[in-house]
Amino acid sequence: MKIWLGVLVAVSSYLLDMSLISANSNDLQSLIDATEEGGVLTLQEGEYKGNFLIQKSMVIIANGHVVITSEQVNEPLFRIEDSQNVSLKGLELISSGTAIKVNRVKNIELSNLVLHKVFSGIEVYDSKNVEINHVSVNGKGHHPSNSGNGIAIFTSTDITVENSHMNGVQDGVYIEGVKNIIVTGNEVVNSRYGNHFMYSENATIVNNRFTKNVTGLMIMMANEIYVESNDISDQDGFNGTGITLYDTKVVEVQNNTIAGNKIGLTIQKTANVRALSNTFQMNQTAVESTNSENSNLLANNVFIGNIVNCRTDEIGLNLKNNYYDDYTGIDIDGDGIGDEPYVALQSFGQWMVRKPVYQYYVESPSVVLLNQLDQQANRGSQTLLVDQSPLTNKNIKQYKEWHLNHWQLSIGIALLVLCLIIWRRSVLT
Amino acid sequence: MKWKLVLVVGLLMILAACSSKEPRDINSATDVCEVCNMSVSSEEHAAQIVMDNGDYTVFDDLGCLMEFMMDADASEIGGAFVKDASENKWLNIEKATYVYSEGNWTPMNYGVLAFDSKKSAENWIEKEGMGKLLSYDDLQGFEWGVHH
Repeated sequence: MKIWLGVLVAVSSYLLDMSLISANSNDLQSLIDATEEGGVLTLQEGEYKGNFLIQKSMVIIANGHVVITSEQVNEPLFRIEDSQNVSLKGLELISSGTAIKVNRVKNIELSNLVLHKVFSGIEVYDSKNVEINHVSVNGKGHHPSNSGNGIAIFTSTDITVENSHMNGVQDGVYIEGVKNIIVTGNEVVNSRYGNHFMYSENATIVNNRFTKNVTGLMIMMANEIYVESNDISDQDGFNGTGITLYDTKVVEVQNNTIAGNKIGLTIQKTANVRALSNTFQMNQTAVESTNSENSNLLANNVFIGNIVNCRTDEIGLNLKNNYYDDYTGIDIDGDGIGDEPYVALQSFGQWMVRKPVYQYYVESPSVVLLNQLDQQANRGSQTLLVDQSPLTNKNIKQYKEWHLNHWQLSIGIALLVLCLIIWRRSVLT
Repeated sequence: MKWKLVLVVGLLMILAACSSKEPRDINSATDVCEVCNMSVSSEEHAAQIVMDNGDYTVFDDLGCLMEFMMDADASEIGGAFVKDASENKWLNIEKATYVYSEGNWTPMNYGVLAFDSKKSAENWIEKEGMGKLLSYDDLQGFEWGVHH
């Protein structure tokens, strides 16, 4: 009786899902071709080789550890074209060229993918309703200028990129000519730009982490950009910048932690930027504005541990209600706002940005005197680098914890002891 | 006496080399566009200006160089160069021939490529099946920006 029951269940399952094909063959293209429109192709655990074309509605899903390796370098491993409702799930792809190229597809989901040693991870062109989530892209380990992008999306609409990780690529997420995009929960490290937006509209960039790139977030010629709660830290290389806004309009940068960068936020040729409630911590220069309009506002931010808080070419930056760790004024009425304005202008800071070697003179008596003179001379100024209502209490929502580098500390102590020994011997002899 | 003459001539040659107005190689790891701040990652689209005092200013896209030149003091510019789209060499921007097409990818998407001769540019247009021929003078009035 039990045997008959088992057979009945098996036949029922088969009839309920006629579209399910179990694949254990290496001839993946034949399996794709054999899958009916709208069907599900389940790949059994194993290794597959080749370059494949999908031109129909279908789902490819891994059952176990499925590894697919490209055979032709100049061809994408997967080409998905002129179709709709396509999903790839749970695959590991190895290709020295492009892993997945999508052209003119509506409704596509790429999820739980691992892309190894790729020149370029995913490229999407002229598509709509694209969801990319839990994708890991690892470049070949070349310099970013010799790599492709992790995820690149061109002239498409309604895009979501979430919970993905990109390492060692040119731009983690490159967006060009895209309308309506959400980038959330991603991490990009060791690349050129974490996210790179060009000619795009209506983008939301939330809860991402960009670290150890040339620039964390590069936004150019784009409109209506909302940047919130991202950790943009340690872009401390030769040209390292946390966020660059170039020729961009209507940008809101809010509640982000921007720490340890050479320049935290660069605003160029840009209007209507509102940077609110961010933490600028331990950057060489926290905010730099050039050639921008007067409509840019920095309010309720915390500036702590930066060498230079703000620098500008005299126009384009309004400061209001920010906390500055080097503010020396007092708050007699206790309303949390300093009774004297804060002057962000620092002549020495400006020089130091141009000649980094000057940082060795920070806090030397002459520099302290110069900063005091700046404060006194510009207090009554109405230039845009004066905050008339600085906060006296820091309300830090996000704070970057600093970890001691024990290795560097040990070397430093050893060198110090060595110097002391040499000095003692030279004194005694 | 002769060796002194050789020494002087040698020194003069070294000095002449130091003040050369020749373009330099791009270092994609460190070079950043003077106008838009982007890394000069795509060397085949790079451009540069050699200032009269020997300083170099590099650009990721020909459009950025043209924007810089609009505001620059012409008397301070020693030479301006752009990379040839068909082979790895620098071209003087005044002597190059250009092809614009919306489909030409360049780092800032200005879509203008440079060629060493009109013939090369025409060959490229014929091969790609798209593009409009431009001269250096045409670039002065060209609308650099979004062409999508």
